Amino acid sequence: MPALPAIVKPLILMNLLLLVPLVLVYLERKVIARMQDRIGPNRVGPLGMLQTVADALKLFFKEDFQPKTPYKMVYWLAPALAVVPLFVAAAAIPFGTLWHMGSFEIKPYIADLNVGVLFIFAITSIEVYGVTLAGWSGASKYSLLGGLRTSAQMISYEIALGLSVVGVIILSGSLRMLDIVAAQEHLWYVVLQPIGFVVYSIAAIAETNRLPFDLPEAETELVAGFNTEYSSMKFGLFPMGEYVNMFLVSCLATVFFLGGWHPLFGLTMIPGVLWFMLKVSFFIFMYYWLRATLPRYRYDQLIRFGWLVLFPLALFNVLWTAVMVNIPWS
Amino acid sequence: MILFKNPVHSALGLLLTFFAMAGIYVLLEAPVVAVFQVAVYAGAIMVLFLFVVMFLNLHDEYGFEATELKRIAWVVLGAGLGLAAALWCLSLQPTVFGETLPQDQAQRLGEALLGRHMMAFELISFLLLGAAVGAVALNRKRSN
Repeated sequence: MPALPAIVKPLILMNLLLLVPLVLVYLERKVIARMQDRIGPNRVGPLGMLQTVADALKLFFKEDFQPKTPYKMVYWLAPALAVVPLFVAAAAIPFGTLWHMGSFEIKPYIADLNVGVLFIFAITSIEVYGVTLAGWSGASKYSLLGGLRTSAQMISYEIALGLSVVGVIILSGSLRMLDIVAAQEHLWYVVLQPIGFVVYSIAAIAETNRLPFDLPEAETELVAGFNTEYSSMKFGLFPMGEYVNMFLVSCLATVFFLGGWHPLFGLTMIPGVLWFMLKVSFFIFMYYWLRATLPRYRYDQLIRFGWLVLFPLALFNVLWTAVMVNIPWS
Repeated sequence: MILFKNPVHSALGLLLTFFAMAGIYVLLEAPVVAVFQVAVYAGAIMVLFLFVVMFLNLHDEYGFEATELKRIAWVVLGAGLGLAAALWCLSLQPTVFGETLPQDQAQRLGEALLGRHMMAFELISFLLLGAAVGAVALNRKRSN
């Protein structure tokens, strides 16, 4: 049955990704509560673990209020566009190397594309439409302004995000995700590409609209921004997309800079998939840490920082890497 | 794309067309072109199109309602196309995307762009730079 893995693996990945937001929200609330000397959710289930499940159920059963908008179709389409590209992009991420289980060989990834990096950036660039169209189709000026603002932010930082990875591509000489991880067996690219890693991390935070760059959720100025006109689970899809995106961006950081499934300190008895997830959790923990530590940027500061600091830094990194690779002694 | 009265819906139709073209490129075993199609046209250029259409804010087209007949026609057309696509898919041999393709397409594209077509490539980039600078210069308000 060669077709069986092609059916089962996407099902597994999709269900895992659907669970990711539940886990991440719970952990975020717990971790940030600890950092702020609070306890966090502790009522529903043991240690409050079922809190996010209860929240999600509540979202499903809430009244789905719809504004009087002439753009019904777009209004329905936008939340889907905010989530679906992320699930598609996740198909190209290698979560581990080949697994041997008796006579079976399990590949912990779905698609091994020779243009994997480009594929992921192409698909995730579609995500902007979800936010833009959500802001526009609500037929409300608050959500329109929020939507425009968010799309401007995402487009600006996407450039820095893409450029920061070019250094990695130059070093590994491949656009294939598996090759990029394989090239880091002895030395992770975070050592060779410190600027690239820093630019990537910052741009990734802006790209996922998280603090300190969470201008899209400007409660004080825009009554929450692009998702103002949504309720019930149609609203719930936006934060869900945000958390899946966080997970995805952390996976990419692991693949590009943190050595993918390669173990640290030669601890090879821990399986590669577990190493991968450990690195992903480290990156996600950084997200929480930053959120608990830093205040929010102002909008003009955000755009200026993106174009005048991150973008030139990323360009410089590309140039520097290209020069260093071509010097004979290196 | 040309069937919608609302310009934003038309823009979305164009987006869908770009995706369909990307799909055709994949079927033609040119995944690099397909990915560029999505990244450049669908991901970047269409967002700007959409911005422009939204800013123009064409009020006259508001409140366009589809008639019952039109809706039925859409459903029949969609169902027919879906059925045809499903039948066609069932007749195909299952292959996994990416396994039968030549592995060095991106490399060959890069070599062609920066080797044989170097001059044209650089000239086009200068042309685009000139266009960008020109657009900014034209839009700038003259301060006297």
